[in-house]
Amino acid sequence: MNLVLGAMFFGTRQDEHASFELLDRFVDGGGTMIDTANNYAFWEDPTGRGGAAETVLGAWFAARPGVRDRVYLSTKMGAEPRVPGGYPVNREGLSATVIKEAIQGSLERLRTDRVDLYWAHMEDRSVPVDETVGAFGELAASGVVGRLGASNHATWRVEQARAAARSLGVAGYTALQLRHSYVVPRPGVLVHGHRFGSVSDETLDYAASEHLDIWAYTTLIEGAYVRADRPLPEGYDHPGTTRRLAALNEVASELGATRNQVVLAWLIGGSPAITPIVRVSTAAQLDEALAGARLTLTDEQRARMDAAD
Amino acid sequence: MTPLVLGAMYFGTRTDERTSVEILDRFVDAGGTMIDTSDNYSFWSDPSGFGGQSEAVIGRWLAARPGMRDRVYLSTKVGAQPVVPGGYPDNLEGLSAATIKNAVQRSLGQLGTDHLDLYWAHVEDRSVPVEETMDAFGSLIADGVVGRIGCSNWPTWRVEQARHAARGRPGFTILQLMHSYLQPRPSAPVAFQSQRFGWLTDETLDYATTVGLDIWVYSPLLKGGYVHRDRLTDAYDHVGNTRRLAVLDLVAAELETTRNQVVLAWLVGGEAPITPMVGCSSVAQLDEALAGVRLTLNAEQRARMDAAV
Repeated sequence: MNLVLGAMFFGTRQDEHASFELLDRFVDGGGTMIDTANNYAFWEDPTGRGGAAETVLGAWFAARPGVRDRVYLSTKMGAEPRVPGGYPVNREGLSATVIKEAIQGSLERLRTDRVDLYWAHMEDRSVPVDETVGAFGELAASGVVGRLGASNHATWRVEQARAAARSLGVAGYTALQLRHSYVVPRPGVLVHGHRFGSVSDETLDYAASEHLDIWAYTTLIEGAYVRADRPLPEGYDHPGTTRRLAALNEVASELGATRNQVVLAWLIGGSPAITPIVRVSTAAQLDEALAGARLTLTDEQRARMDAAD
Repeated sequence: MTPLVLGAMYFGTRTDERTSVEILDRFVDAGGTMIDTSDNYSFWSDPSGFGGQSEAVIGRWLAARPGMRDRVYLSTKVGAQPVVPGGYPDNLEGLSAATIKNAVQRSLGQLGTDHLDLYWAHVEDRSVPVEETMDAFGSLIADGVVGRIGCSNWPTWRVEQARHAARGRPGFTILQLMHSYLQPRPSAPVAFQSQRFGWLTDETLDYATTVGLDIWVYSPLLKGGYVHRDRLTDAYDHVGNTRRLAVLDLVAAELETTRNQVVLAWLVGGEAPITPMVGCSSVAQLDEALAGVRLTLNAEQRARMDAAV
């Protein structure tokens, strides 16, 4: 199933018991891919540090023998604050030393000997790209990580890193993680903290041309598609959004599905295909997302949704 | 140096030769130096279905003004000339080594000169290995036929790939893209922009300032759209542009100038090294543009203009 469970608030907003319930339900429902980060969720934790989400996942693996081999485990490094309150200026970054330390910390918390997909969480332009790429490449060569990705990177920077990996003869990034959804903000409006953190038309072209996977976060925009108490941020206000929401309502009603489900189906079935990450806090939200990931749009429905702008 | 490029797109077609020469004379008399054309200007306005009329007018103008060639900075392009009438956009000359070699000779012949100051890849050609394209451009620089090379309508990741391929030889050091103060809604089609990656984006600005590229921007006045609102397509309809037009009018009133002039001043005086290109069909338009690029916004005016989104 092309759906990733976003393990951001496990161990902070959601206690271990609630987290385990969601994790169990996800794998029972056919889910395999779980995404976290070593800095989740420092902004929710009294310590000011991340690690709680990985720790809960590690406890869950320990409590469910055999489940580690059934899931595709993805985590990230580079954006953990160096000191409480240090984010974003004083974050660990992507030096070789930090990468080597960070993977060990993640493996210990996750109680595993390998990560299937390991991400550079944010750019670090203070470190030469060869150094970062070389350190990640070593992890891939040693088998500790299966694959590498770049999150919140400008496309030209990803290409620079991939060229560096080719020159060094090591594995490079083959996945991109960025924010994306069906409705998009007005030009020039930054709806989150990452200047190059959103999928653009250039991202789609780059991924399709170079055969990179795209994992998309905040796909359901914090519940804005389905919850009256969670309106879209003002930056989404433009006629294209109005038209897209109208098309979304039409298709949802044709399919007897929710807006969220149609958005997930639109992402997954597009070209290039997008792998959505969803964060859920209830079993009902999880079930809704799992059903959405199994939904298929007709060509005509997709064309109508694409044409609304 | 006057930070304005005279766009000669319609010289010899929509703009008759007499008017074209009048504009060229006025431009250089007023201190202008940079003139931009292309081997395919303007095939869509000529009964032959091929371009070349613009280069021919410039060539005759240079021939009639001894010494003028040394006073101007001459820029032309290769890659987007149709191979057969009606061949645009699928059947173009492209960017193979053989095409570049032949096209530069034709352009030199038309322009009546032995060198180009700046030579552009007009569009991408993904059917040709980028190494071949860069080898061919690099040879032109090595032979002294071309002073500098740039690329137009390329996404940043492809520019980075080309620059990497050119390592050790001269690569692209300048980008040509469409940009203005008003922005269309995301993914909404704009009638006068057929190039998928023809837009300047925030990534372009980051890329250019980080690696040290210059930027020329075309259609900065949106084909007269700041003066004739009906020329702006539906894509420009959104609240961000409503806010921008309001600020633009305020600043224009403060400076007792026109919207067009404030837009040009905003482009020229920003952090990124942007040079606007203006295609004029009358001397009056040229005078307005020349005055615009010489205008300076104060920091408070610029901040107000930037903040409107």
